[in-house]
Amino acid sequence: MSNLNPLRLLLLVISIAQVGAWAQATAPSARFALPERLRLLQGQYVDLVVEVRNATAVSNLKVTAGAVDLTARFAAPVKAELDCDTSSDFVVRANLQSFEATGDVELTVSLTADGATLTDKRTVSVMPFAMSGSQRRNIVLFVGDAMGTAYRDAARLVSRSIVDASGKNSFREGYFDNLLEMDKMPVSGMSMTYGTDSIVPDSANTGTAWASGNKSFLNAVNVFTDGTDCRWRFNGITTAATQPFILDNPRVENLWQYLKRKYNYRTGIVTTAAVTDATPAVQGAYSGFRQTRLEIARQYRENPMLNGAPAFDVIFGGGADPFTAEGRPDRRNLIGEFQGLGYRYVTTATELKALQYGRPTIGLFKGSAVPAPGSNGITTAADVNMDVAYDKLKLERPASEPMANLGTFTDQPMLELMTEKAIEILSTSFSQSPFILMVEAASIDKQSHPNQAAGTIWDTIEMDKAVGVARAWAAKRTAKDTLVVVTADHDQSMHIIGVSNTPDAEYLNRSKSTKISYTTPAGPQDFTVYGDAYSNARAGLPFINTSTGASNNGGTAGQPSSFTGTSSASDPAASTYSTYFGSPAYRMDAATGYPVNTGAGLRRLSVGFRTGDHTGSSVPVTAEGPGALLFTGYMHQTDIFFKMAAALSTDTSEADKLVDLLKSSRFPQTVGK
Amino acid sequence: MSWVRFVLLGGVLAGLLAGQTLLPVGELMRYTLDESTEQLTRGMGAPVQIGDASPGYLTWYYKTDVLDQHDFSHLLMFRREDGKLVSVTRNFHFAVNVDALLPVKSTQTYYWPSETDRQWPVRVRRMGNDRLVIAMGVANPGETSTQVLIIRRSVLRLFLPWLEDQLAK
Repeated sequence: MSNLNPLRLLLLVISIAQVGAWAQATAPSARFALPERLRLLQGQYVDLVVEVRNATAVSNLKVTAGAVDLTARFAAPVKAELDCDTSSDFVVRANLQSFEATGDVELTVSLTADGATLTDKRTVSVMPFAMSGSQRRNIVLFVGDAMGTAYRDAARLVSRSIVDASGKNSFREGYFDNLLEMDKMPVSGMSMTYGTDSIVPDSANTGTAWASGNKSFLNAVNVFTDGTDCRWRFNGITTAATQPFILDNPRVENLWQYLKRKYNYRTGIVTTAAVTDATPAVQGAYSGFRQTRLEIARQYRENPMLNGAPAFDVIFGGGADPFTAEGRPDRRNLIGEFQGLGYRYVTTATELKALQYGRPTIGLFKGSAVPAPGSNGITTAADVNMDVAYDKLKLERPASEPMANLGTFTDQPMLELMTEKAIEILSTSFSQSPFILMVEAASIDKQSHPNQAAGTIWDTIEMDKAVGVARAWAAKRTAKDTLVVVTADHDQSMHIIGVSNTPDAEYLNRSKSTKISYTTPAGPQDFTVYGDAYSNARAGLPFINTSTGASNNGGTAGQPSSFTGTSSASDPAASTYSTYFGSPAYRMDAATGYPVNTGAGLRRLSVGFRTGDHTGSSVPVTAEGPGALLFTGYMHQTDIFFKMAAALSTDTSEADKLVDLLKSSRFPQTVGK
Repeated sequence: MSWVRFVLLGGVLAGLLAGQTLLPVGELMRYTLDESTEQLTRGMGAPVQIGDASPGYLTWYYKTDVLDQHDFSHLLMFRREDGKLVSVTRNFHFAVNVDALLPVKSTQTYYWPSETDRQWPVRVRRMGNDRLVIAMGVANPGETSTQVLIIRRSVLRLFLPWLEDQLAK
């Protein structure tokens, strides 16, 4: 045992833990491919799948849900190859089933396999949902991808620390004159984002949580794990040849399809990502693997929960490729098919602005110059997101971040315009149907992965402006019928460090840099540090701060892997510009309404990144409108789904009065709110 | 220079001229699939994640280069029963020229789901020591791929049975 490294030990421990399971593996067994804590709305679709292992024949199937016999809904047992072993297995399934009785329902299966009687059961929690009387409420859900508390803080510190012409800063003595739009929403809570297989989740399984009310595994879009995942999930072979096993997982219906199918809601997605990216996908598709972009686009057009009807009335974002004939191996022109169904199609901000309310609309504002299918047969060659706010605003990028390159897509809309138009279209249907809309600021996450602080912060500000659009629209409604919820799917590792008064000459200088290398067990790690590092301390690098004024900062000599030994003549780390103290100070561009990031006298926010990836921290939720009080406190991310549903289907007037009471002058009010 | 090397070199030059990223031959071929976990961690460092959700297999995930943030660069799958490395999957965010891994002489193209219904290709190189190298989505030299795989031939039927059926012919 002495030469066992920790990983080998872990492998051994996990293997030993499986011995019990292996010992029984040769005996026939049956199980529902459903989670232990399956929670559904009344009438919400779910695929009921029973997996039978180590059996040569299956008979005498009986499935019940409480007193209801579901057996007749199941298709005949089908031979299957589960767990990638050599055993003989079967799958029995009943697709798109639902439960009408509310409360805890015991789901049981009994069957005969090779002479043995096998059983399994699950307790399914079925929540009531029924539209009451004339109540018809709308929901606008904002998802800041990776927008944890530090990201909201950063957006506030940058966009609300504005120096006016007289030199007065709107952030003084620790108070803001004016908080973010999302700060002003009256109810706050926290959402725990853990997935079934990881405490650090991704946008797919977190999206599954808030869109369908159930947790799942990394990369899953509204599906649960099953016995054929070994064909692709654990070896990474995600191709056309394994796609049938990616798409056979048990599905659970999301709120967008549920409301459209049962209550004729209008539905929409707005994102700055490719519209087939994971966060928008959870409103319109069902797949074990988020990167099955071609299939996700097809399901937007032919949704399986809607008997092949389109999933959405509004789709705005990037990623045109999988909707084009050139980008798809099947050569289907999905844009043309949507247009054939009466959808309008726009590709620029100018066209979007000119749109009048009414007909369903697709806006795809970015794509490849020459779309092409990917070699794996399940994606396009490129997944093209929209450009970030910082670049759309034509702000000059700091030295360490890539220069803007909008290519030929120079007329992309800001998120606030997309939000405004989506609400306008969705809210003015001939049928006067209510609507549910998701708005995603995707590049908060996408810019955070490469630790690009300016990109990620300005995208958070862009999102807040979009929140302002929705709040203002909801406030103008005579009937207070629109719930606005703002949350994140997961956190990332950015944190607030302090401020930096690095001058533009260093902040923007791409010709002055320092190379840093250090050796790890995996080999040398090489970094190039530019002068903007004071405002953006990247993962893997020592924190650059020459100040010794803070007790937790030992200066250049006190930090691990400090800059000792680098040339002070050309080393940004030798600069004395960095400081912990003071407040940020930005100027506002009156033309765009966004803060500018260059100019004499700026004091920029300093942020640091511990990693270039997601984290497992809980994320904030804020809410306003009918039912907002439901979103207070710590909650599982799946609760967001049920709270949204409850806000639509129940009388929340007593709770709404309480929120109004808290906003009254009887109680302390937050400065700047 | 043998004609095989000549053809290989020609493919590499053509790829370079086409502006493709060429995958170094050592990128995948260094795996014998007989490596111990110690040898792997010595060479690659610790995995960023270990997935233990499969009853029969355990996966080590690596991110060793810039990829789409949700993809892994390497997935190493071990069989729980004996701890053996079964496969190494290498993903690329941008498609690369994989000709260096696939000498024409020992490589053949196969189609999913079958030879008569050619919906999607793979190029397969048969190697010694129970190994196959598979480039996903390529039919001819000079084409690019986002995924290559080295896998034990003896387990191919469990993961890609359609390919095993065709290889066995």
